[in-house]
Amino acid sequence: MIELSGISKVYGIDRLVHALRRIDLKVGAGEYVALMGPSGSGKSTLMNIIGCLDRPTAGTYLLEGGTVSTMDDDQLAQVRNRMAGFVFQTFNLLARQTAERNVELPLIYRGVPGPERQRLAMEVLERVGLTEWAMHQPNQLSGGQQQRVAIARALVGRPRFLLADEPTGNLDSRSGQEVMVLFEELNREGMAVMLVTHDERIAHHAGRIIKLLDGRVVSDELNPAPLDATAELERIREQAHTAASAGAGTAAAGMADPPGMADTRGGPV
Amino acid sequence: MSLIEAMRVAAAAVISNKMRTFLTTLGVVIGVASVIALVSVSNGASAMITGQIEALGTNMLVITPVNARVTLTLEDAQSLDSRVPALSAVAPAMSFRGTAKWGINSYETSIEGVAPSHVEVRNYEVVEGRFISAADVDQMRRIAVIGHTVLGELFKGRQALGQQLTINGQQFTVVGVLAEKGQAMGTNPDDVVFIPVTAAQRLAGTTRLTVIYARLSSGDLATETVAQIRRIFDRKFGRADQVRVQSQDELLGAVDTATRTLSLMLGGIAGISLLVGGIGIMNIMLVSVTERTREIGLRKAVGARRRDILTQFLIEALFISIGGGIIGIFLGSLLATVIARFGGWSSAVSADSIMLSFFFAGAVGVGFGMYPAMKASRLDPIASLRYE
Ligand SMILES: Nc1ncnc2c1ncn2[C@@H]1O[C@H](COP(=O)(O)OP(=O)(O)OP(=O)(O)O)[C@@H](O)[C@H]1O
Ligand SMILES: [Mg+2]
Repeated sequence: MIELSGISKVYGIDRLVHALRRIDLKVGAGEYVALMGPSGSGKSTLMNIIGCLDRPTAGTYLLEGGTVSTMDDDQLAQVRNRMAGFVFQTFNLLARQTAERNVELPLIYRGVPGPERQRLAMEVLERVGLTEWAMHQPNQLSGGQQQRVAIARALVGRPRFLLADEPTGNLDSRSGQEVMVLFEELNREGMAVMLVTHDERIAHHAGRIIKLLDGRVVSDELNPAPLDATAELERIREQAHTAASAGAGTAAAGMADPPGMADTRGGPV
Repeated sequence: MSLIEAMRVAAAAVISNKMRTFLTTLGVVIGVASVIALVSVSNGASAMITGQIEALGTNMLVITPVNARVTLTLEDAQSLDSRVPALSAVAPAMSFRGTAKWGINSYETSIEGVAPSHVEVRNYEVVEGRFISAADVDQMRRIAVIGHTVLGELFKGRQALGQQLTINGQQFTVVGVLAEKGQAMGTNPDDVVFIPVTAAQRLAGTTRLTVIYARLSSGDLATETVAQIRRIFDRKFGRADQVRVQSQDELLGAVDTATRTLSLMLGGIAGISLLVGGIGIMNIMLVSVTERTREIGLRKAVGARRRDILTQFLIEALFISIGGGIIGIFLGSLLATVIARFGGWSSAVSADSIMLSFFFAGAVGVGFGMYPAMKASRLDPIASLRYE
């Protein structure tokens, strides 16, 4: 499905920054890939190129047999609209628009008529468990809920793959795990998922783990025993419960639960 | 993205910043309101003047001194009558504002000293009694013929014939009443008291005339006749151009020129204020684009093409400018009506000027909204998403 060969990305004019150096990578339909690496190693750059948000400086990118590297801006926009679903660390929901309207957005640019858009949006909102929150605006939702709205938005156009750049980075562990459960379910249904994370535990949900360093792939391994996201969520819930019933104070509880607490950087656009 | 969807998004953006939107529209509001009001005022005023000129009648020449040192007299009128065969009638006049009194009623009106020919030259009609006769003029009789408005204002509909009027302290006998001519574009030819020209001169203590009206027997002769009249006066005064000889066409032409100058000036004012309004719109649209950089980035990430973003921001600019245009049209019409009431002409806000303002407001929106919209449409999605 995704086929990168010799992809490089260089930033800057005077002082060149080699964000990616001759990357060769294939990702098949239905794969679940975690991308890891230290800060500045080029993870986001790679995701942006795969998602057609950015163009490589050199190399070819074949997506479903089509050559993305030679497309113009409007063609790229269409590929993004039909092929990719993005989930961002900072949610990037439109403020002053309901969750439902936010989810409709990709369909608006596809020219889907209003009633059909609403039907599809409500369908995916139900899928992420937010039916009751459909008419709420982002500032009335917790961070975890906002991220699930963002996932619904990424799903509504039935893309071929989901790209998530540190999707749990702004969430507490329980909301983050809820997101991971969603990804796992989607992947089981055949959706390819690529996610960037700094968290080994999160990465181990994926069936394949790729590590980047200084713009190069330094390891690309299959994960023989991926973590079961639902079981993980259960474990986190239990931990929180024990901590609370043991009266272990605010520190442990804070780690596990209150929505919005971790919501410092993220927020509506 | 469909146009309706783009309009919905633009409307939401405009509404979410009510105060800012309102302040931004002000430039366009003031521009459009001033166009509407000023065009209406200039149209109303020029229609009024045109009406006054047209009320003179066709084939009419108006002879006036160019300045106060030049004196026109009754002899001049007589010599024109006898020496210019192309003139079918010559009507000297000496007029001033005066107060006519009857009993306790008093009324300020135009007192016009005229000769018998006046009734014919100016197209008046006597309904009661008679007009001023040659004998009245020769003998300086203190008699008066009153217009329809004066009849109503002074005599309140009572029998006027034979009554004694006091004009500037002198007694005059009413010998005739004129038929109503009717308002002609704001002027009232019925608001007048005619007395013999000689009596008027004595009342004013002068031998001057204010104007000599002359009627041409045929419009074809206008140019030659005007030249002939000029020669007569050149000879009399020993130098050229001491009197103005104007035909109705020329007077209308002069008004037309004045109106055109006025229109040009108004166009300038309107242009400048719309320019200022447009700059305001551009400024606020640039702010809006910057504020919503992340929104633009996101829209692009989910598949918005350049033209989708362009349309969205152009429509936003159009909403502001056309909204301002509509408010401006209402405000301008209101202003025009108020001014017209004071000016005494009928206010007419022309459909043309409304269409024109509307069109200009739209053009300003597109013109000044284009740059910010282009800027928005060209933003790089990743850089925009990272924008803080
Ligand atoms: N627009 C840009 N202009 C210049 N340099 C850039 C730009 N974007 C990224 N870089 C550089 O490219 C390199 C890779 O950046 P990238 O954002 O892909 O890293 P990352 O692995 O996602 O890091 P992090 O974990 O902190 O998100 C970095 O050195 C970064 O400074
Ligand atoms: Mg990154």
